[in-house]
Amino acid sequence: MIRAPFLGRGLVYFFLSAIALLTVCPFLLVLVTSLKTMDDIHKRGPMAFPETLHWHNYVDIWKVGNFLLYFQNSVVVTVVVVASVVVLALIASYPFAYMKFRGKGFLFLIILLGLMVPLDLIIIPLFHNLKSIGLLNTLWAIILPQIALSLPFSIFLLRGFMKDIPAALLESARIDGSNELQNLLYIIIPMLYPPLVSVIVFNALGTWNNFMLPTILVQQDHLRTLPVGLNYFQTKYTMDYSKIATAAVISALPTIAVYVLFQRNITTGMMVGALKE
Amino acid sequence: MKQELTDISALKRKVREKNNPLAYLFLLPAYILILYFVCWPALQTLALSFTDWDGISPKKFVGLRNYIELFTNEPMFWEAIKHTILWVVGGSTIPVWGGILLANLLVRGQVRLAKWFQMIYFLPQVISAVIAAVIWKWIYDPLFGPLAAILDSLGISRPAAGWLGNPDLVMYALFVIFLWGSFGYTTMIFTAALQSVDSQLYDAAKIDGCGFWGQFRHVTLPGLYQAVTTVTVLMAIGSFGIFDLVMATTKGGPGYSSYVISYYVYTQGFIVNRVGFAAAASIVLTLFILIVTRTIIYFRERNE
Repeated sequence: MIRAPFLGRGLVYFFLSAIALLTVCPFLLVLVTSLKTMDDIHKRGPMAFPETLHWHNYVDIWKVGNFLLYFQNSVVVTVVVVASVVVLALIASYPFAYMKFRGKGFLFLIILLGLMVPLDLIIIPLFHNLKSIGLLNTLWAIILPQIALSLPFSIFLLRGFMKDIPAALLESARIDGSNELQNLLYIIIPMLYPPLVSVIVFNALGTWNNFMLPTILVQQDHLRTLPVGLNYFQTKYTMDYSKIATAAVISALPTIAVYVLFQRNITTGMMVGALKE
Repeated sequence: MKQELTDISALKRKVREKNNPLAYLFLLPAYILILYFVCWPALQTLALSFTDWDGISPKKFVGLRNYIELFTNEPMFWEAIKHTILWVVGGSTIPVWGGILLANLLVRGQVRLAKWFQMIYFLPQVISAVIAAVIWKWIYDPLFGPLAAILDSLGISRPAAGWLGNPDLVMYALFVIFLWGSFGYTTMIFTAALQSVDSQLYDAAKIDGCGFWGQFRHVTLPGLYQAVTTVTVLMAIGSFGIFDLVMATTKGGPGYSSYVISYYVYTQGFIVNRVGFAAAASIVLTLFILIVTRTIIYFRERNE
């Protein structure tokens, strides 16, 4: 299509913009609602813009129930999971890319199977195992399985990128007396910056948003993460939409910020996940 | 003697080149976690599915009874299967077509600001399903919700119990949320795939007299073939796991009209404590996933 007729181009833009508008509308609605009071909603209807913007909702929410704790738990879980996954996936993908050892094919098959295991398949024994080793109802009950579930994809992605780094580079380093750990630290990691950011962003989003694991594996209110806490809020404060909306916006903001900042890396991760198979 | 020693060390080095034991040390920490928290529980689920267990008292081996019960004596499970199949069929087709259409417009239409459109479309994908549920529950609310307000002001009639409260409409209402959350993902992948299609192919097609549709059929679709297969499989897999959305909106209701297999597993395993039964249901779910993805791949490869 070199230059479609003017009308056709106009239609294309109209169509694309209409879809964009429909996509953002729910976000705008929840944002506006978070700045209202319930009085506004009752008197002026759900769509009306509030007379005054109640920014204080964003101050008050931290004192509602355990919201502050939910946020803290989410931060702790996400930071620990992402840091562990990065370290463990880096050292585990190195041998797959550069070392020869017996059972390599079989061990990599476990990674590929791990990519496909649905959470539903493992959640029941997971619960009972964690209970019997006394980790149920601690943050570890979320952190450890989340690390294990994130590793296969991260190893798969990092190994893919490591294979693109010429092995000759490592050979010459080995001849110069550099050992495998030094190779990884000083040669590989500096060249892996973009995929590493993908791994960090991907796992951070996945962990922050995970709902099934923390719903089932922690049952005490003070251990809840944001999605579980938010779900609890919406049953507890059913009638207070502005409060729930404020909590929802605060839960979404970090992920949206991360997405906007690291858009390119998320795309790379998606492509590897989807197309490199 | 000296000669022999160097021979042995050379041999050792040769063995090490084939089998570097250091590799296992590097893999150990990751594999301990994967084996203990992913692989072992998967096998345990299989074992549990042949038992009668309430989670506390000793397990009782019952052979295939759970599976037989599931398919003969559990109308709720059939409901869940029906909804899941509908969802997988819808989820692996509609967002894929939508994504192809949008990607085609964005890339072939040489739209300015295409990056921005893509970014906006993708936004719902980065928030937790619970947030999506919170937003849409409010949109669908029959009393205070915006959708009701819009329809009322236009004088259009609407279901009294709202959309999520209506047994006939609830799955469609939920599917709209899923669609909202997923078409940005398919659009993004197809856009990237389209950008790598050789633009000379389009010129050649044009010279051969292909119009917009002809180019789409003969250049775009073949160029996207691999991507379509992968995205269809990924969307089918994703459609099996809609636990989050159901849990945070309807909890399977009203009645059982939005039960899906993964939510059924949860209620059986953690609410009513028929653990062996739930394990059998999750094995069935996993087999379903395998069958569906294998079938898609089989048909796509056969057509190649």
